[in-house]
Amino acid sequence: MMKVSLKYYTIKYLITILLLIIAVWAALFYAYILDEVYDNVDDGLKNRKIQIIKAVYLDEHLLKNNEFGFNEFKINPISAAEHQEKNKLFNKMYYMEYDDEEQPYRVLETDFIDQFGKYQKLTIRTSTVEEDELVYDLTTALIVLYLLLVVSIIGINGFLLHKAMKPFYRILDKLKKYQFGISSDKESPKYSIKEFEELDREINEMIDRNELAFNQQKQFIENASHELQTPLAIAINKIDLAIQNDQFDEKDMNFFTDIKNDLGRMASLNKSLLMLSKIENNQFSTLSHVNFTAMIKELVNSYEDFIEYKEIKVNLLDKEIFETIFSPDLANILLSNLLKNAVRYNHQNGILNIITEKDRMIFQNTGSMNPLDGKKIFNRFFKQSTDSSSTGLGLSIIKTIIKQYPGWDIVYDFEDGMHSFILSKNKS
Amino acid sequence: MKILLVEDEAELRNTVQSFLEAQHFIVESASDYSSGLDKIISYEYDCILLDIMLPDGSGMDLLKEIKSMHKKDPVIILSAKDSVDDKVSGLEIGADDYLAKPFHLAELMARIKSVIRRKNQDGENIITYKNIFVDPDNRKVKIGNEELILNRKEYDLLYYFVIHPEKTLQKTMLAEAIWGDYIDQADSLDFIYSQIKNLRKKLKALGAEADFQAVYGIGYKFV
Repeated sequence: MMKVSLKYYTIKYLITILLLIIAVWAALFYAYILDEVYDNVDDGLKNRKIQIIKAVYLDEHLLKNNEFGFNEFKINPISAAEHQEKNKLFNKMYYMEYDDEEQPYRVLETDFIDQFGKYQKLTIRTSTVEEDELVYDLTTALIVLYLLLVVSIIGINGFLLHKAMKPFYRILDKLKKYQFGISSDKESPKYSIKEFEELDREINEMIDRNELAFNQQKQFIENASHELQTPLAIAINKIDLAIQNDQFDEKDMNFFTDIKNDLGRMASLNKSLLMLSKIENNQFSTLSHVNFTAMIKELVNSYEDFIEYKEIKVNLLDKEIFETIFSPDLANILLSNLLKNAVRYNHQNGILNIITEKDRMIFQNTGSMNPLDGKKIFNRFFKQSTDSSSTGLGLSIIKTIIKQYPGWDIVYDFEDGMHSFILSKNKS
Repeated sequence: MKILLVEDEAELRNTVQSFLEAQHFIVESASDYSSGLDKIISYEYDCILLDIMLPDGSGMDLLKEIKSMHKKDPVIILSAKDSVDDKVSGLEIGADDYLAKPFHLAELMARIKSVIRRKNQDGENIITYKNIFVDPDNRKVKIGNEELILNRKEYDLLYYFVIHPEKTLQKTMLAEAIWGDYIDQADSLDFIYSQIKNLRKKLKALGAEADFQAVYGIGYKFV
């Protein structure tokens, strides 16, 4: 179904309904006017009948007027049996020499007794050609009226809707701009329309309710993660202690190391969830000037052993300095996640290019020969590889950080066997 | 050696951190109660420096948490309050030392060394294992009478083994102690092996009586 705006929707209906109403009204009006006109004509005919009969009594020659002449009447003798008291009025077409066509006439037929006591039939006619013009004029007038009405209704409708619906569009705009977790302008303007005031109030209340539920949920995740951390750490510590004290033989030792690794994975998953929730809760709000180019150099240094072991060649290419106002903690998490990712999913003897430009930072690395699914990799718990040690949250943390900064973006690209993550700022 | 610094004042945190890093410590820092707690729960430190006034809680509560988890990490309280009451309550809860702000970095250093000495070295200045002598204050190692020259990581690694002799040390613990907390995010800790290999070569060359024993899949033991 085609979607139309409120304005056109109402206009569409108004115009059709109006057309119907005007048509019915026009028909009734026409019938009424016509009735009036015939009444008038008939009165005229009746009046002439009396005058003609009077004239006949004065001048018997008129009785010989058997055809319609310029007087537009004729008198024909009839038998006594045919005689009727009543006037007969009807419409009839007569041939007219003037324009060689049949033309409509109104006709009055009546019988009377002349001065000689004979029965006579008097027929009087009058042309009704002008009534056609009347109908024509009437129709034109009605069409003009209809068009005028439509135009003015469109105008009034537009104006009224614009005026009356202004708060509606303002509310709509507010909803469009609304983002979860980001409190918008809650201050309600004065509404002169009760319904809109109600709508606005209800929407604000709904938003508050949702935010509350959302916050409670976030709080729950955060608390749950926090609470989980301690028992996890205790369990890991106990295993550590037992391993350190050589309480097991080699078989048991391996068994417990496996358990420890699983617990460790759980702990790091938990930590990542906590991190996500902290980022979303804006707990990294201290901003300062961060030089990303310098920071990535430091990070590459601290991951040196890790990178060297995989024999990855790291090329730091700083075309320009990438620096901005950012949370230093988040910048560290962001860059180290990108770096770790590029090393971790690289192969032995791989290549890692880190290119910094004024508004972009590109991590380009070798790795799997197939491109990743760029649409899904930033989703939580998305794992392309069968790598069991991955939490599936690293890239989603990156995305969550980026979302905190308007104008920033991170995209994935695959070209010539190189996986690229392109971090950009100041995107318009 | 790894130190955790919980301090909300950025200026002081940075000063202390760079000072300690210059002294070859690995320094992890936290600026508030919750991130401090996160670190304490997840990792082990040779020394924790704790500020009492934190934006979202008290360092005293953190200290209580440490003790309730039966962690043996030594704690030094850093406080702006120099009252006897505070000192007493801090030490009673289980802090190992108390330092009032402002303090001298040299004094902080001495106290850190002292608590580490007590914890890791049974209070001895020189740690001895077989014919290996480690002097943590000067970061020097002697095999018999000969000095062994090590780089920073090799020294840290050897120190960690010497204070835990004949114990199975897991790769994760070694990595965290020598490289820092972030390393637990690395997918493979096999890179430790190359460090051990280098260290073993140097120890052998000078005739050390102890060697690393690989415990398959878990880590190493120094015997």
